Amino acid sequence: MRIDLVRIALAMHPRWWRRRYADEVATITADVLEEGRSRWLVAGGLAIDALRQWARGPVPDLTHSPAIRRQVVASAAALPIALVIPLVLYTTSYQSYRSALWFQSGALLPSPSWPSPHAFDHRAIKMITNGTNTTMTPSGPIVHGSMSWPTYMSGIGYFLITVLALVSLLGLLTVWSSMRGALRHRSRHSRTRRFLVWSPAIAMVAITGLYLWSNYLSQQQKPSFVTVHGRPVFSMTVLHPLLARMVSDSNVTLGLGTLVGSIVAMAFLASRVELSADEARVPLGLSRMIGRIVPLMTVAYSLWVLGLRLQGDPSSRGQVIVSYAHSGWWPLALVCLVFSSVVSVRAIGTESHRLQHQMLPITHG
Amino acid sequence: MARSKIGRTQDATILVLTSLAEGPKHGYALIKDIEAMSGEAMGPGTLYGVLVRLEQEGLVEPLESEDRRRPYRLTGAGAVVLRERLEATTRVAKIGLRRLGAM
Repeated sequence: MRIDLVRIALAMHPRWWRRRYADEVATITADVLEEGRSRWLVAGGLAIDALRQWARGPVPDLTHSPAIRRQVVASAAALPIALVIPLVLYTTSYQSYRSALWFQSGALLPSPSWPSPHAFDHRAIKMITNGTNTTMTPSGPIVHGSMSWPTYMSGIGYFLITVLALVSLLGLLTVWSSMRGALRHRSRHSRTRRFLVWSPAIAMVAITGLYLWSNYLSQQQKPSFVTVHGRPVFSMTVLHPLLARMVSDSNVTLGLGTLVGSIVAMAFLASRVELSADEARVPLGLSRMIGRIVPLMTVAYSLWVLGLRLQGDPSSRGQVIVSYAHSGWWPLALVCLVFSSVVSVRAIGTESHRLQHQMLPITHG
Repeated sequence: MARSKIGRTQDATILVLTSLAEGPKHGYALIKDIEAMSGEAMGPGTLYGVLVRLEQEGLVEPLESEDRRRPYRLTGAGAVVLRERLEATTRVAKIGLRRLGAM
């Protein structure tokens, strides 16, 4: 049986592409092959194009009304943030440090999220003496822990996640502030809509409050010892495990709930209020920027998770091992990040291009 | 001389837009025109990779066709983009040739 390479290469394309272009390309390919071109090369070119089309996505349906288009834009712009923020919330929820070092009556409060190989040595430290917290300088009688390269790598990933999340938050705030005036003006006859306009601000206040709350509670460390491979290992969790779990779960639930609520509210408003092209320009530009941030976030997240997984044995003397609550969720979070990368880059980028070109004057005769 | 791979996508975009500046063409006519214009034998995979992107960006648009060879034409936005790119290329080419002449 003869294998038709061209047909296989055409079948590799996504469904939307096959529906729209397959017949057309098959006809042209037949014309080209009649000229005597190599079937292998033509099929190879089509196979590479199939990969390109999977990455790119379909042409948006222009029969959509402008209101629906705005809704798509608002939802797509907010999607990455909806996934990024809970991720950051649960990674910052609480951390555990383990080391074979004997800290005597004191315990280091290391900060692996700072991108320095000496992060454990240069930070201010917390003494825990008889259950009381006191702050000391590094010159105190404390044995310093060191950090292996995977812990350092995960620290850099963690730092990048934090920075990118902050940039995304700033993006959301800027988008909201640029749309707020237009939405408020057009929603002046509806009290509910006027309230909904403020929902992103409410979400920001709630998230900031949760962050401060978890930071305040995390000052209450609980040191203990566990046995790993028959050797005593110092262990410190920043909260009692049950309380830490409650704090982290409530942060995730409230953070996610508030943000998703605000996103739905904005999408709802955007679907009912017509924005002019000028008013939509800033949100579109910024949403494209956020669409570019999410792939970077995916890389940083992979770095963070990989570093955590590669950390050595906690019983090896002199090294501090870091773990995070909920870090077992990494496959799910990674899938969400990759998905949101593809969706945001595709939906936002394409939509933005469309709108920009629609505003250009027609000069072609 | 071996052709550099740098900027090939950009080249393909300009070649397709330039070919369509003459008037609407279907895929096979585009391949033949580009071959005559540049000596480059563009494959259907490369051509449709560029065409789909240009269509998504609103720089070209498909026309109705009676058979399976659908023609495409340049949009107003496509004409603006092509003009800008050609002018930029011409500026660089002039500077480059002047500097080569001065050597």
